[in-house]
Amino acid sequence: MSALYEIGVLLFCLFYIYSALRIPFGTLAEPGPGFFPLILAFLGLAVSLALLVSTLWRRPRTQESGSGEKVVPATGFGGGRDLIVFVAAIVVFGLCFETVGVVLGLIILTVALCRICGLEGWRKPLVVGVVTSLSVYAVFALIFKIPMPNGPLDLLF
Amino acid sequence: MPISELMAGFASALTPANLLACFLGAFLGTVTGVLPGIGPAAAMSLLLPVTFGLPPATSLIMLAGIFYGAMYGGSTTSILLNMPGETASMVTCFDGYQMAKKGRAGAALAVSAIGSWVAGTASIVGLMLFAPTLAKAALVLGPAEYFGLALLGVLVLNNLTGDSFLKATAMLLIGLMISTVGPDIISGASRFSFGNQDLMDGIDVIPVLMGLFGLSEVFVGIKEKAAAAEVCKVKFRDLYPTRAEVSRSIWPILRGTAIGFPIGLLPGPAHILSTFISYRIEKGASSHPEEFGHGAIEGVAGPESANNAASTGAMVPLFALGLPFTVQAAIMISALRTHGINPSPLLISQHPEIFWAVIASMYMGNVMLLILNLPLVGVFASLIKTPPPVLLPVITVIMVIGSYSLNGSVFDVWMLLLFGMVGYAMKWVGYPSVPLIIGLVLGPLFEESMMQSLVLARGDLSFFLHRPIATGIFTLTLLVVLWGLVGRSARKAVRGLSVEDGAEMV
Repeated sequence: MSALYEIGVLLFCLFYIYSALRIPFGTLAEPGPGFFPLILAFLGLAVSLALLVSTLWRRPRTQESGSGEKVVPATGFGGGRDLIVFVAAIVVFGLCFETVGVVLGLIILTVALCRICGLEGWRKPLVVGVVTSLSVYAVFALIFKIPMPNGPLDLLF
Repeated sequence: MPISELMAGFASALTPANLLACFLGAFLGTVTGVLPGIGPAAAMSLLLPVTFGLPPATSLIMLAGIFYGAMYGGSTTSILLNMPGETASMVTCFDGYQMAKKGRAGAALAVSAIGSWVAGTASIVGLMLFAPTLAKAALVLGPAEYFGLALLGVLVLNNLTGDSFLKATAMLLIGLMISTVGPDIISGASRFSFGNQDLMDGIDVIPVLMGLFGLSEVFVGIKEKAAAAEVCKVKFRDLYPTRAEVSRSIWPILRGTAIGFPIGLLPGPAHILSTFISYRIEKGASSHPEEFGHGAIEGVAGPESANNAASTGAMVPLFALGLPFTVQAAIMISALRTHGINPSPLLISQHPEIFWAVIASMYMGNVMLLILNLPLVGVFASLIKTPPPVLLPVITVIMVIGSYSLNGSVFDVWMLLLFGMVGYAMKWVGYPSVPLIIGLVLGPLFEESMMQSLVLARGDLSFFLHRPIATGIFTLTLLVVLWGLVGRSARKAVRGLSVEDGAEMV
């Protein structure tokens, strides 16, 4: 799993190098906009290669972040289906909410997420959805006056 | 002691609007901080969009309240739930939860709050004295010295974060690369936008923060299918520690403060290191060392004080140099930049009203926390019992709308989601997220100071050898890199001070 992640980092660095080479590099005396990115890109490539070689070289051992940050045990993909559906719900919301409006969109999103997380029935998720949606709308749109898409509600008010 | 400036800060901070902002910040910070899985960093990033509609000083005052509230909330979950809100609170679990199991949860919470207040107040005095002095001294630093200092700081951070210097450095470089998306600082030329209007403006730090620290925790919660927390009950009448507990807490609180603040000045996970060091010292100094790990009040008082003192100490390089070496400081910088204020050694001299208002609000936030949290500890404890199927969606929705509200663009929601998945993957494979955030926040400063140095040098790298401070800093940087790459055996010898083996310290 670690090797996969490091391959991902390596590919990112390669893509970044490819993109950075299309930006003017300049000179040492007059560095261009591509100067700093290209240095970073090659450093990133070197470090990610070193990490990948190191991972492939040594024997697998227990994953420890060591930074004290939580490490999710890579023991199968249980719960992964719920995660995928959770992410998909947010994607659908992002694609649609400017059309349906933030209030309606948030209610639907919250209900969907509650159901995905295991809240049974429809009444409780609906209550949570309505309360959350209206509270969030009140804080961001009404109190802080941040423009939010209202969707069909624009026709009513 | 700059009394007149402090009085001006209080005059600004004590307006009704700013008082309300401080109160709300402390309250919201605590409410969010007590939620399981949401540490102070996630709590601050979650609530950051709430501060955007406010004037700069009010925004920072609210953020200071959120900062203290979130830290205290993290301690609450450590004591009541044996679940630390962040690594720095892990040590509080050792004895705090044991005290709770013995029915002394209230006393542990009270001592934690009082210790945090004492340490916070004392270290704010330190911040007041050190930051302006350091800022004045830093004015002699040129772009080369600044670049070297920032580089040295992050490499020290990488050395101390995690068990792999290379992993931390890789994440730092990724953060720096992401920071280059958007307009070039010098020429304004668009970079890595691929014709996309949103990418032309660059990638905002806040959705990245919320994704890495907030949404990734939500994903962990879904994966682990956590049940509702079982919380140790706290009664208001049990809040008062006994005379013996108070007597045993005094010296640990004072020692924790004295240990935490200087550690906070250094780059690195200061608040984490300070708690482990404090715990070790208290265990050595205690006349009841056998009680440690079984409910020793010193094991709560010392580390909690050290944590608060270190977190405040970390504000010194932030305000004096504009360099953040903790996530909380990085969040503060993001908030400042949102209001068009660029942290640098000139911040205190150019915007003294902001610096002193924040100092005054930190005093106020500290007091407010004590007044607010002790009586309401039962209320906050009940929040912990919120079932995850309700909690996780609500937190997600707040983050989604918070991201959207930054620029009114769905692009920021996509960034939140992307970095939520990246953060989750990082947790899965054991890569630290803090260097990525620090790289993203410091990227513009790195690039600007490096470019300015090269322009001044006119391409002649020997220019740097003629600047003794810069040469000294770069030499030290090289040593830090060598230490990181080849000093593994030496680091094992001092493993007791490393965060990776906290359990061995007990």
